[in-house]
Amino acid sequence: MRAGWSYVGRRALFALITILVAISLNFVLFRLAPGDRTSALRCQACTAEFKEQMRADFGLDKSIPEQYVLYMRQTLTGDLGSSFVTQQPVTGDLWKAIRNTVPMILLGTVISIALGLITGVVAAWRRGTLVDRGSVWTGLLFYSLPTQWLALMLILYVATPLGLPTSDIGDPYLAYSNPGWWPELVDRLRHMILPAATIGLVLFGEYTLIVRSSMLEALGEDYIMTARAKGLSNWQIVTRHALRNSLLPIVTLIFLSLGFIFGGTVLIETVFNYPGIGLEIYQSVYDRDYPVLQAGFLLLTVSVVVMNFLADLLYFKLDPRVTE
Amino acid sequence: MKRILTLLLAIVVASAIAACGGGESTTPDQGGGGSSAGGGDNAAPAVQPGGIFRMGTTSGPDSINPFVSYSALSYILYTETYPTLVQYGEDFEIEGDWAESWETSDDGLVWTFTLKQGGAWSDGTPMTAEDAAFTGNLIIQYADGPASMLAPFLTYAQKVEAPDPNTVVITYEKPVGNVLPQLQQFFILPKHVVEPVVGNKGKGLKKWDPVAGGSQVGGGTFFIKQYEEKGTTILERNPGYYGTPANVDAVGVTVYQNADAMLAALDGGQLDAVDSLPPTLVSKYENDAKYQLQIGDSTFIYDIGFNSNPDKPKRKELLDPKVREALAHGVNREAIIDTVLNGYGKPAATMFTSLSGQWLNTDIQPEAFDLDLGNQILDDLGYAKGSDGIRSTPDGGKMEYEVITPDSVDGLDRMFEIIAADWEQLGVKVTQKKMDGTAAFEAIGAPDWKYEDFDIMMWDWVGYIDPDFMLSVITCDQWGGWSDTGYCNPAYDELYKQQATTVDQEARRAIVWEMQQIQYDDKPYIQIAQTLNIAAYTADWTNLKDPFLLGLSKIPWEQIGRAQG
Repeated sequence: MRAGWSYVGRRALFALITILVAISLNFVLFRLAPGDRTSALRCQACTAEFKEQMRADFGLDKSIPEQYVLYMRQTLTGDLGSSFVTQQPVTGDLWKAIRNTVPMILLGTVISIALGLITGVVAAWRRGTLVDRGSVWTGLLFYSLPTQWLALMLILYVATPLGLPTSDIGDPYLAYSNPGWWPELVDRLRHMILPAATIGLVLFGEYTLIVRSSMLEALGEDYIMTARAKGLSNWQIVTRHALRNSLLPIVTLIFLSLGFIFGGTVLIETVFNYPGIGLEIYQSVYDRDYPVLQAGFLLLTVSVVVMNFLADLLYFKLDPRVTE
Repeated sequence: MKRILTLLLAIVVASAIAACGGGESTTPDQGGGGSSAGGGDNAAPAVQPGGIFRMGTTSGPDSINPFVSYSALSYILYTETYPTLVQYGEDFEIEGDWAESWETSDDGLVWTFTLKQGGAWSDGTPMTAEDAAFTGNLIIQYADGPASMLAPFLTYAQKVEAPDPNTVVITYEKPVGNVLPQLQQFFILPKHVVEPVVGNKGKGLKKWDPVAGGSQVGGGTFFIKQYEEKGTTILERNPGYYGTPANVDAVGVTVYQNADAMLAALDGGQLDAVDSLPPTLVSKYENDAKYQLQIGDSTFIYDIGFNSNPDKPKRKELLDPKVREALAHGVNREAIIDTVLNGYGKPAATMFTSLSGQWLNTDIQPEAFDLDLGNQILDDLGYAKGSDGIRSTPDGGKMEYEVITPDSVDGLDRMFEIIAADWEQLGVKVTQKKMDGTAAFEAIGAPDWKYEDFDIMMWDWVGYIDPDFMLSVITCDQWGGWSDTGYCNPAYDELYKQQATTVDQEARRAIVWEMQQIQYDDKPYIQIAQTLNIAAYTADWTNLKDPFLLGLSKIPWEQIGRAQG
């Protein structure tokens, strides 16, 4: 068990160091970019004196090491600065964006897992048949499609026939009819469907391949033969025995991909104008809004590192061999 | 696995419920103005009272803080939510907005405005002349600091006074030729809201959040109830508005990142109007009885700009107006309008359009598309064609140039292809250098706003009715500011100052025409085409008159509504 805790400690330390390096890289990268916080104040006609005062207010008149210490202190205490564009604290804007993105990502992940499980299990069960090849190739095809193209196709060919919204997180005018929480919830879910479906369709192939290969491995085990000999139905063999024993790689894949999906939402949220973290980052690149970009990149890094760490912990919990 | 799926679904639902909780349920004020088409316009069709007008756009606001924002939609929001002394009417003639009447002193230095009575800010605080005096003096005081973006609207103003609650007096340093057109964008802010945020040396103004208290305190037709920079901004009717109240209860503006999503929302009944329809889709909507199109002039002009810095170190042949003239004869405006704008454009010769009225110099016509003439001019200048068909310059260089284009302007790629193919026949080879807008602007000024590196760019300008701003962008003072050509001509600058202080409008017109002629002769730009604005709205809405949604004048909301019956 001691070896196990040492494993967790090492992974935690590694995660912490990665985050600290990412924070420091953020400091360097955005100071190498042209312009500084004062150049984005739309103050072309301002006097040099006023600009200098603003620089002093932002701490830009200090030496680089002093700025680094100040930056680290602010970042570690949760102060990520103010947006160049809105002049409002970045933390509030990002928090709002995250709250919008997380449910959409989770729904997308649920869709991808469900599709991946169905196609993966069917492919493994009907190995070598047309169904197997069809499932795998369909998964790979969607996995290879450009995300933004697939999103546009959903807008052009799915949104109107199904009456699904193509923008925003909810009907902005719904509040005027005081509908209550249930219609509001339904409305939110309707707005989530197309962006989440895009995530689901793009990612399910990953799960198809993993489920298929681990199912094939499980289906070749002796206990499956025993189950057959006992006269269990196919359904029982798959759900009770084969699938349960194939889940380990899928669970870790879920956590690993959750971290990366945060970054991948930039394209999806931009096409669907979904006001989450991806759209926030896209807009900030356009506006050269360095504080928001800095905080956005930090968040993406932290999400990948934390999800990887959680995957490690789960592996530790689920697979005793790790601690041996 | 089932547990994980259930858990994920539960989190999705819980998060969505939590997100729902953020929105406060409100009902817009039903009082005031809820009658059929008012406004005293008996010719306007009757409309149903109330309702919400939902508009889509792909060019959203960048902020609703007037000390920070610069996007066109932000200014449209200010026009609808803050009082101005005067405004353009439907025919672009200046008329009173908050001001009922005004008079000028004999020397043209003192302008006295009498305000309409009874106006109130949306939070119920009475509007008085003190608000105008406060805003004006704030802008004057911080003109070269935090208020620099608003200062041009009070150029040469010395002070703004409020001798009584209904009188505003503006005193100018010298007579100004365009006082009223400039005041059309002097947005008056609520003193009781702004004064506490001014801060040390006005620095608080740059950080002001007008919706910090839940909603904006507005004094125009509407106030901003909800602001979402990348989502939907909702304007609700201001119950204390000093003019004829809007017929609709609220107006929503939703920002889309692409036109496809916006049009899908229009088709799906989630929008009532879109402010700009791609020209290629006009035929789809004009043949559909569910929609009405509104096609009218705009002040949007595509142009080709040349680096006009007389001290640019390389490829100096492009400084020669004759070379530019030859290239201008290689611009096939007709083909560009037909192909890129699907016919919804007009050839342009100067920075002004027909919307500028008397200020457009109608003596100037676009250069004819004539490749033979263009070749002849370049031959006469001694730029001989080589075996590859590309001309050489006297210093041994080839006439090969990069053309900077911003990726944010629709249509430029195809336009560039057409021009490049024709210029190749002139013996001039150009390649496109596409960049995002900010990077393109920096590349034009490089290095450090000395305008030394770039040769040619393609972009656009969107002007105002009054010519002052468009004339200013090529003055020497605008290096590092609005200038995207590095043009600097002291004689032109002198005329610019003269027009600004010439009160006699006929004399001012003559100066403005002369300046357009100088610009046409020197050719820092070759103007390509003016676009037409194409708005689409569902057929059940009525009285959305041209130039609705252009942002050049106040929208007659008192007449707009769903048609009765």
